[in-house]
Amino acid sequence: MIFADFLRNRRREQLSDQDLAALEASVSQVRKTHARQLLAHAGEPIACSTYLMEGFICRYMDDRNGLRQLVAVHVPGDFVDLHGYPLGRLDHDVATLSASKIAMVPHEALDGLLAQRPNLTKLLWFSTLLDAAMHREWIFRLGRLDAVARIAHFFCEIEAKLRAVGLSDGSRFALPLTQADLGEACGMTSVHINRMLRELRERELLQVQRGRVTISDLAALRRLCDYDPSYLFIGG
Amino acid sequence: MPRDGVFDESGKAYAEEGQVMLDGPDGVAISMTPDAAEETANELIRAASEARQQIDDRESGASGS
Repeated sequence: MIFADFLRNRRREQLSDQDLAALEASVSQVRKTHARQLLAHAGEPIACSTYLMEGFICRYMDDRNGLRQLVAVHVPGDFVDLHGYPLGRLDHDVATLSASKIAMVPHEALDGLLAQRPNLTKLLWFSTLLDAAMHREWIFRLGRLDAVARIAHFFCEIEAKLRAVGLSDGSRFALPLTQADLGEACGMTSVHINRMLRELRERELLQVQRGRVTISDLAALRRLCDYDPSYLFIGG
Repeated sequence: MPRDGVFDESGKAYAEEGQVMLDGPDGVAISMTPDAAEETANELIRAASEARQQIDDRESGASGS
């Protein structure tokens, strides 16, 4: 099944078998990608939306000097650019962070789903609203949190999202991001990230080793950055 | 605690691998070269002196009226 993780532990139970079958039938292609592969370029017209089955994908924007700001990190179960369906083009680039498996849903097929399946339409809309909620949280993170709290917040969010799709047990998960990636997500240099990771390790909150994250005290990590996962609508 | 968005706590500065990192208050988290950090420090000291003068001028104006 392609959409096994779509809205898993969120509102999955509202997705009827018929809606799910129609969604599965809408996929034109499933393909594997390499890590660090550009999938969509800002400004270009797009005719498909991308659903992430395996791996990690980011959305990002580059400044005039080529310095990058990640504006979203997607995990399996996420539609990466469903907002591109009504918009027709993206205002950001999309690239894989790791080797990934993606499903392409043509916008023409989405036209049919929206015309015939109001419940599925509402859930697809819900999915894009989750993205908007995450963007608000990222604004809070970058505008209100200091360096160590920013990175703690990032890890809290990723952990919660991965746990919702069964890829974290609450303390351990794979995250194939470099310190440069983390810096681009948190608005800091990789050297700064390195120091903050050391601080989190010394506080016995979190460790990152060879693409694996171990959180020793999730409650303390959440307290450090005022993290409240309710904006992810997990479990309700 | 910030009052009207103005902080009365300082940020903390660190040196790491030839970079100067300024953390806090609040959402400040930047890295600078040593030269940029020194220039920023001088700018901050100059602006702090100017701001103190503005407070003094305001208070003396208030007491004179």
